[in-house]
Parts: sequence; structure tokens; C-alpha cells
Amino acid sequence: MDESLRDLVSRYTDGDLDDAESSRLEARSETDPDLAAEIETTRKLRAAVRAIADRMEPPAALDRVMEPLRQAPPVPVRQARPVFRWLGIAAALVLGVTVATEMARRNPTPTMSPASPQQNRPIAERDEIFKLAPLPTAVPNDNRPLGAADHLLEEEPALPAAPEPAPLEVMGPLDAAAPSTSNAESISSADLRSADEDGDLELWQGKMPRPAPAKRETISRVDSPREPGTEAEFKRQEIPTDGGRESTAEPSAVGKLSRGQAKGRPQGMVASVLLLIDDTVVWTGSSTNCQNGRWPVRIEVEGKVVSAITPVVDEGEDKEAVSCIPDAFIGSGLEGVGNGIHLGELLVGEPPK
Amino acid sequence: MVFDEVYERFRRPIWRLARRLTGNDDEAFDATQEIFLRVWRGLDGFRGEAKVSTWVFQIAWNYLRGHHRRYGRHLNAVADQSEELVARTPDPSPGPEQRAVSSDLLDRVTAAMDELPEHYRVVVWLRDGEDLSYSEIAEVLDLPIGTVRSRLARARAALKKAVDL
Repeated sequence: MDESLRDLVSRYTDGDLDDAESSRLEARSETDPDLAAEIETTRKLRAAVRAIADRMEPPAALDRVMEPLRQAPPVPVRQARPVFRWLGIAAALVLGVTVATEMARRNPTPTMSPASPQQNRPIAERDEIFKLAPLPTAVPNDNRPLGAADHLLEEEPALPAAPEPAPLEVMGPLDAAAPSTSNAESISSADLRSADEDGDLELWQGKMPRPAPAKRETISRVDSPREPGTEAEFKRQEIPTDGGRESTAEPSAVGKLSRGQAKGRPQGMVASVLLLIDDTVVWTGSSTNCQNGRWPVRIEVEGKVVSAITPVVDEGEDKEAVSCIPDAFIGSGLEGVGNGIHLGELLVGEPPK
Repeated sequence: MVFDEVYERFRRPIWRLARRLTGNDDEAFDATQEIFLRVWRGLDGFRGEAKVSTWVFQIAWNYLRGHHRRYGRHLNAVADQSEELVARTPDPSPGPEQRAVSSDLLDRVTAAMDELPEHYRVVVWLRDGEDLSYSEIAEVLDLPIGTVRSRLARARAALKKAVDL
């Protein structure tokens, strides 16, 4: 059959032709058995596809897995990533220079005129101008792979180094549900330097931008049977990943879990993750975000980027059903426990030997 | 807009789309979770410029399309010439012996659809399976409406040939 006629039939069965076109096609089909058959088979095919859709039901497990998310409060839209802020400022500067150059070219006679009102403004007030540069906003349906942390890093230019942070404070255990073997222990700058010298930081420092310091937050640092731990003050940075977002929303589910323990069951092959710091959701993702043993989440301790969330499911037959173990903790590791779509708290352990 | 309402409304369509495009239950399950996680994240930023259905399907398509690209499953080279498409589409219609065992039209259509290149499969599915209009499909897939029309016609022709309709 002619392709244009076939297209017409397809549109006809979809009701996409106007009345005149439909009438002409119907009239022709009365004298053209091939055309009539084409219309009939197209209708039959459409009905078959619809019937296929009608008999497809999602597994009941989907509802169970989605339940915590269905009950979760909405998360505020995060601010633009640091790289975009810098790009916005850079764009404003380039625009400003371009305009100034163009104006100078069109009016080349230099004059010593009195300072403009703009120039007389205090510096702080003039700086406000730069804040007016529009910033890109996050696109929810971004198609980049969420877990490709390294890929993301390669896209981001280096940012100015953060100021030297204050030493970490030893605060003692916070988690009453933590194993009784907990030991208080501080993370020293020397430890971090040692980790750096071992090359653990090389991967991150070589690629990671160094965002400006963010507010300090505390995260419980709990020991595990093999790694004594403490509580330590963490400085949370903005989490500049595709899948990440900052949030102050209350988590939908917070467990009190320690390494090697998990409640509930993972569903399918995905362990969805809520990264929690002080009961605040700071990032959401799933095990599909984990690539090469890394999660696209960044936390900074004493100016050093640390990253690791390990959903370890270790309960009964679900033992190690989901595992994303970072190949190197940096200075300190974060470990979470994946459990369906909700998650226990993060745990901070010693760097692996 | 409340996420729960969106989930209730689209859980079946998104599951079905994921199932059709991934080709198996496990991947569809994972993909559906991921898609709704993205919907949840983006819900506050949804300003209603598009219909909710279009927005949700866009998120789904963006994820599923990338999913196939990343994992290379069911990824076929898409030829825009209908004859090439028809020629390359494997004919899943059974032989005489199999025909007696599997004569069900739905099974044959399902099998044929799974062999279609995904850019054609998704058009057929959104139109006939989910009853989206041409303009909605064009918006979801970010295609000109004329491309939607032609792909749909070609895909249907390929399917009819494959299932011997």
C-alpha cells in the first residue's frame, strides 16, 4: 500500500483527519477492498495493543515499596548547584565587560565626569548587582545518569578552595540504639592528611570542586563491631549531583540501625536511599545511583570531601541483597542501610584498612 | 499537587510503559521506582505549564530512554525509512507447529512490539496503549507532531506485517 495512504489510514483510525478527509477515505474504502482491509486491520491492531495494556498490572510489591514516599512531605526545590552560581556570575561579568567595551567603542572620547550615582554606592550595595544574574534551575527530568558521580565531576570546573575549617569536636555518642561497644574517638586533621597521603583523596580532590563552606551539622558517629566510632561534627555541603537536593523536610521514615542490621526487605534490585543528617533529608536516591561503589553524594569533613553511603541489607534471606560498598572512604565513611525505600540513619565508620 | 495522587493515577501507566520499554519485570520494577522518585523530587517545581500526564510521561521517557542507552538493552538502530524498519523487524509469527500452540493475537502483538525499535515502540504504546493524543505524544517525546504521525503509521505497518494481520 502506498505510504501516504497508509499514513491516512493510521490517522483516520485515530480520529486525526478532519471531516472532509474522513469522508473521502470512507467513500474510497467502499470501492477499494485493500483499503477497507487496511482500516480494519489497523483497528484490530489498536484494539490488541489496548487489550495488552489492560491486562498489565504492576506487582503489588510496588505499592509497598512506594508507601514511604507516598507519605513523605514534599521536598523544597534545592538551590542552584554551585557551579551554576559561578557560571551565572561569570556570565554576568562577561556581559558587563562586553557592554562596557561596546560602549567605549561607540563613545571613544574619555571624559573625567563626576562619579555616577552607581559608582557612589557602597561596594556592598553595588555587589548586589551581580546577584541579579539569573541562575539556571534544576530540571526534574534531567536525562543524565544519576549515579555517574565521576561523570558529573568531570563536567564541573574547580571552584575556589574552602577556608580551613575548625577541628572536629568530640561529642560523645548520640545514638542510644547504637551498639554498646561504642567508643568516643575524634577524627583528626592528621588522620585526614594520612588518608590523603595514602592517595584516597586523590580521586576526589583531583576532580571535585571545593564548594564554599556550608552550615555545620552534627551527624551521629557510631561504631560497628569491627570499627569503633564516635560522634563527630560534620559540615554538610550542598550536594551537587543530578539526583541530589538539599532539603529541610522531615524524613518519612528514620530507623535506628547499625551496620549489619536492617529492618524490612529490599524490593526488587533497588534500595532507595534517603540520606539523613540530624533527621533531615539531604539527599534522595536509589541503589541505581551507585556506580563503581560510589554514591553521588558529598559530605565534607574538615575541608575534605568524604563520600560513601552503603546500603547493606543483612537480615535473613535478604542478606546482602543490596550492596554498594565504596572502594575508599576518605577520612571517614558514611554508611547507610538500604531498606526498601526508606532508610535507617547514616553511620560513620573508620576508613577501611 | 500531592505525590500520592500522582502515584495513584499513574502507577499503572508508568509501570506499563516501563515494562514495555525495558522488556522484563525486574527492570520495569526498578525503573518505575526510579521514575516516581524523580516525580517526587520534581513535584514542587511543577508549575502546571504542561499537563500532569505529559510531565510524568516525559520524566518516564527521559529515564527509560537513558536506561536503554546506558544498558544497551533492546537498543536497535532506528531507521527512519519505513521499508527498512519493516524489513529489519523480526517476524515473530510462529511457524505451522507453533501457530497451533500460540495463536493468540495478543501474544503475537506483544512479541512483535518488543522487537520494535524503542522510538517506534514508545509511539505505538503511548497512542494505543495509553491513549495519548498526537500532540501529547509529541510533547512527551519532544518531537514534531508530523514525526509522531509518520512513526506511528510505520510502526503499525511493521506490527501488522510481523503478526500477519
